[in-house]
Amino acid sequence: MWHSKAFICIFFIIASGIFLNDSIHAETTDQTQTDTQNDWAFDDELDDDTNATTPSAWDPLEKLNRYTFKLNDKLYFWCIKPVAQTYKRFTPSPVRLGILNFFNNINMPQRAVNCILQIRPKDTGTEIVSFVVNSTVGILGLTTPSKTYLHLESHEEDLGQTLGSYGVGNGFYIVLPFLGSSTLRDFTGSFGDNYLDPVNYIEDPYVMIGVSAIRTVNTMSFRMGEYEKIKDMAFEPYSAVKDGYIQYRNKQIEK
Amino acid sequence: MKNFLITLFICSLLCVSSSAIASDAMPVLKKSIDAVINMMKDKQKANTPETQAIQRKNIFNIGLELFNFDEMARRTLGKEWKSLSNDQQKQFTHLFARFLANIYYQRLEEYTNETVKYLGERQYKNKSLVKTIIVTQKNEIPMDYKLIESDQWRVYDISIEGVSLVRNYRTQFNKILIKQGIEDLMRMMQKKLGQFSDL
Repeated sequence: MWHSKAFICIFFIIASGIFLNDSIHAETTDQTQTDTQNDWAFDDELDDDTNATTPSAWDPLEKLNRYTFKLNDKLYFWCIKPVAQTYKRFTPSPVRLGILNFFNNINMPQRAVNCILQIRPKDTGTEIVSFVVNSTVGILGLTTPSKTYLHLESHEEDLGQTLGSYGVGNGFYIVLPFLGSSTLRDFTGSFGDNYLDPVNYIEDPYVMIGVSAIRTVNTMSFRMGEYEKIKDMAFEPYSAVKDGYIQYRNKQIEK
Repeated sequence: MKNFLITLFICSLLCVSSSAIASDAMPVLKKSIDAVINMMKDKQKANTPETQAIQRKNIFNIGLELFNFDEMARRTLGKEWKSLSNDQQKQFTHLFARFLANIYYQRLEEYTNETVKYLGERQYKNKSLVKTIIVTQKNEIPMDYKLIESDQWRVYDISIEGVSLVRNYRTQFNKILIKQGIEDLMRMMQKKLGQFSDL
């Protein structure tokens, strides 16, 4: 399994090399935009008015993406939502919160390593201290004393953001089956992050799949209704989700 | 003594300028948001269709105070705005305002004692950006308001966790305008609004 993942990873890195040339073009306009925003030059927004087509991301796979988007929509309503709802009904929320915290806690390596890669020693320290405190005082990470008592804020960092902070552009937008929105950069990054995910080191494949499933369903149980709301507010759900994802990621990288 | 006077002078200058900056957009925004929060607290009481209709109307009136719908509509359409006739522009603004108010109204049901923290504001000419955080029971959601001063400060864009509402709708509307056109877009809006299209 890892071999095939590594292969796909390499393929995408090569592909990103090919597409980078194109994406640089799209990215430079994006870059200047965030720069002016940083300067509080709101006139940027004004300019936006007159000549805005603001392509939020390059989307050469749009046809395929729209198809996958529809597939995910059906998957959500027919499979993920009922499962997560049933799970939510029969699992007390302290238990769900404990599980959420536990998985967040063991995901520390991903956050810490990416903080290191982004040369943020202070945040790296925060992650490690939080992990130690939560794993001991916080009973195996089921609770978060790091947040409640030490007021340490954890940073959702991943390789996609690290690459973004190095100036790697989005590449192009992809909708992944099951996983949803991504870009070439973020998708490539997720392979690296996988190596830092302790769940992937569980030897028995059945246990590993089981644990992953619990993690997914548990996380989803906290996000019920979000997708429905987005869809309800949107005139063009595909574009809404795509633009939302790109804007959200740009903001994360900016931080 | 001379030095003292100079420092005093500079200090007073600083005080004046800082108070001038601090007293602009933020209080206006705060007032409107407080009004909305009060209304949300009332929401639990309103059950009959009549009271709900009144609430809907009230929300829209607060919305008119809080938002600069003309500016919002113009920005969401981007460069397409100019290709619209005057009537179309008016109609679009009308629909978009009601659409936003309606979303706002629907979201009220979800109100569970969230509070708003005001982090600060930055101003540039007649525009201002106010950063706030919505504190819910589970987490904190960063929410930025962009305001523009015409007769008074009004919001023309909201960013939730970095996602700008105007930009998001612009992406959607552009797509629809390219494929279909403004009349179709307005029909879609009317359909989404249903009975509330003429508030």
